[in-house]
Amino acid sequence: MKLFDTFKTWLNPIPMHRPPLYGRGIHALPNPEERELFERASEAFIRGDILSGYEYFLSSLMHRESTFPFPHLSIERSEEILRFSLYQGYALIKGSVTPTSLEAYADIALSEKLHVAIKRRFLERDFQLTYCRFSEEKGVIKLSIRLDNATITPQKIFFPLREIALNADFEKEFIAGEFDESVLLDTTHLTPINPGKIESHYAFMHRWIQETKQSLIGLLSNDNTGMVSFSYLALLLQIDYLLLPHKKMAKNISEKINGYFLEDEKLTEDKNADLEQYLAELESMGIETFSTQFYDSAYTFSPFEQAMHDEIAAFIDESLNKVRWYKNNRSNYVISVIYRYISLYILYNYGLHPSLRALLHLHVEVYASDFFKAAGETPLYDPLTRTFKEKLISQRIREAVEPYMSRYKGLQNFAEHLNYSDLDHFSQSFYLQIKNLDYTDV
Amino acid sequence: MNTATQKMVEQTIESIVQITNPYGSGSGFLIGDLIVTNSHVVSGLKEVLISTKTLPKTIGTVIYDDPAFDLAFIRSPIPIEHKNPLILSSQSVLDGDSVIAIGHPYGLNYSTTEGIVSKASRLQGEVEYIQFDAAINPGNSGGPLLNDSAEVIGVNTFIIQNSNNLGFALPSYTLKEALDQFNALNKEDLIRCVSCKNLIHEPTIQNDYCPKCGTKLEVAKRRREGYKPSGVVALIEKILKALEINVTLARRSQRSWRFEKENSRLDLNYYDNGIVIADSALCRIPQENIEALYDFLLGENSVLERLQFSINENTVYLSYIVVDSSLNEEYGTAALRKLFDNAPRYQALLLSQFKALEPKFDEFE
Repeated sequence: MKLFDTFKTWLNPIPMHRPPLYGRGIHALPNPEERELFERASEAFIRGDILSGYEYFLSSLMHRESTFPFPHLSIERSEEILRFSLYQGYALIKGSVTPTSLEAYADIALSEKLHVAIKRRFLERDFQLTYCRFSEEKGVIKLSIRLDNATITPQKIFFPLREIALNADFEKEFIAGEFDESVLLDTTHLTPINPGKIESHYAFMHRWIQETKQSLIGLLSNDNTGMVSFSYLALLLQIDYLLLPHKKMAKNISEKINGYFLEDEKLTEDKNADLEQYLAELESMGIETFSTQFYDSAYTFSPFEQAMHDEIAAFIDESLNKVRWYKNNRSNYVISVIYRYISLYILYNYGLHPSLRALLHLHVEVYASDFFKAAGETPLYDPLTRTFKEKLISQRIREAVEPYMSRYKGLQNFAEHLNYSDLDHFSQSFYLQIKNLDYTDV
Repeated sequence: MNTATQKMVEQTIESIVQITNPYGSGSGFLIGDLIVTNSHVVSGLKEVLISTKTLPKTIGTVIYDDPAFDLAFIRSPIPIEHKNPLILSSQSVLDGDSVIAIGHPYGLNYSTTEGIVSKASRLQGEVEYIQFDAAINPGNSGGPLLNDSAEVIGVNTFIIQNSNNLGFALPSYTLKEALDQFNALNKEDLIRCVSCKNLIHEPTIQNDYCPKCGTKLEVAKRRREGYKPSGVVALIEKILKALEINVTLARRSQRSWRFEKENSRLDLNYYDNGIVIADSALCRIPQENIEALYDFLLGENSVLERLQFSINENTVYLSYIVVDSSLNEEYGTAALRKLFDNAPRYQALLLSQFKALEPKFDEFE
């Protein structure tokens, strides 16, 4: 049987899914040797070879198949010292390691032109952060960490390094969005998006807003507040996932989406009115302003903690119950909106296994086929003929699932169980399969 | 509360004791030179922290522990000044009598509540209690229940949880009987057996069994074992001892310590997520030159090794933060020593140079 499997693999090799290109987080694949390198780092630390331990650990963070033109992490080692630099969105972290300590920092901004509110914010963040701190040195605001290597382990490096990277990026994004007169430092790695792509993004955003407004005509009454919410939230999630804005636009979208779920005292109608107003702001935004909200960069750390699959399955279950409720109440319009919303919501809110991320992206791709067609991809669904590219979808599912099947005992290629009779049936069958995936280690 | 009651509270307050140990805190009161409290307030320990309006935090010795009646007596190493000593009431308690409870609910010290006796006698197990409706909460345990002549009619002992003001006090006649028995033996380190109710002199106990009836004495076991921290808590206390801090006096709970250095207060907390934070609230933000203060703090953060300035709400903190797995004796001692040395110095500087305001300490911690 084993021999047969080997022949089968030779004849029909397991292809790997493509690295993610959309949504927040890393646009690359994790290092396939991540675990081994992490273990080698532990062994090196145990035998007291600190610099090798760091070298193995940092190597474990190096992604594969990044779409970014230059490496997200560079390591330079001499006998006495190891230097590294890593990119995390807006931030560049530079570090040096000696046998006794690690010191790393990110230059954030020039202190001179910073608004007092930002300085206050840094000091408040210092109260909340565990490993790193904001300081000012020679007119430059820095975020830095220092670790003693006496009892160092890979875990003790990972969390501090992740904290400095995520926070340096987040704070620079925050400053850019809130006080754009500030002078941010270390920004040369930010790659501009080409004007053609910006124009296309701008056009799609307007089109989606128009389509949403059109679809809600006749629904703007108290009876339909839930449906309106789903439409607006799905739209904002789609703008964020597919266009990937930064700075103020990303901040506002995040505030609107999170505000919707956090502000319990507000009536749903009022929350919808807030979302509607923000969509009107987006609609009236000129392309010049719009274009300043975009850049490309590399990311070393994911901003998400990987979620348990049970949590995601529970969310799908809850959402499918809502679909059932709307079906029973003959509110068919909102059903496809909820199906679209489910994958976008999960991609926005949860840290996902690469295969799950690829699968949920596939669902987004089916629903936003025009956008992907414009981006040069083969569309997976034709809204005019209402037909699917079944073979392509099946192949993409195989690519997302099969590379991981030897590791997770319950992970199965479910392509043949999908229902292609229409978009709603496709989504229903797709989410039921996603819900039942099993990411339990062999 | 009328004026007479207010005067009564004022007169008795010096006799009210706050008792803390690593497992929790409670109340007590002075009868003569002894501090009376509940057995559950001292948690089976031989040493607890005591303080009164006139006595700063001091280590008191638990010389009598009586789990049968939930009573304990503590000896203070220093005589406690109290001008109006409390006395035990010898009058009968009747349903509807007015009562006042004084204590430290949830650590909110010297809180007074009033009510009436709901039922003069309620039997729980073998022990009678006075049921009353003056509000008491966790932390009131061991405090006195007073009548309108400011005499002690009971020791506040328990409540029915999630009820509305169902409080129970051990009657003063039970307390008097215990005091008489204790005084008659003229010995310290006495434990009452929960089964035969005899008072047992601790040195006569073998393997924690009652020498009279053979019952296992849990209190004897706990007193023998004492409070023994382990792991990171033990390491933190070792570091504090190396810095000449009296750890027993500093303990606020198993994972929290507080001490003073010159005019600065320092807190050390070990949180469930594994983070150890030692910090000192130095001052509050002034109303002028605030940005200059921020610039100063951010500038100092670049030169301070291991320590950092931060702001929470309106208070400036100097902190040392470390993850438990990274805490070791050498670096921990060095960092905390630096914090102890720098906190008073920076506090003085911030108050004088930046006209910052003295810190205010939250009583609801």
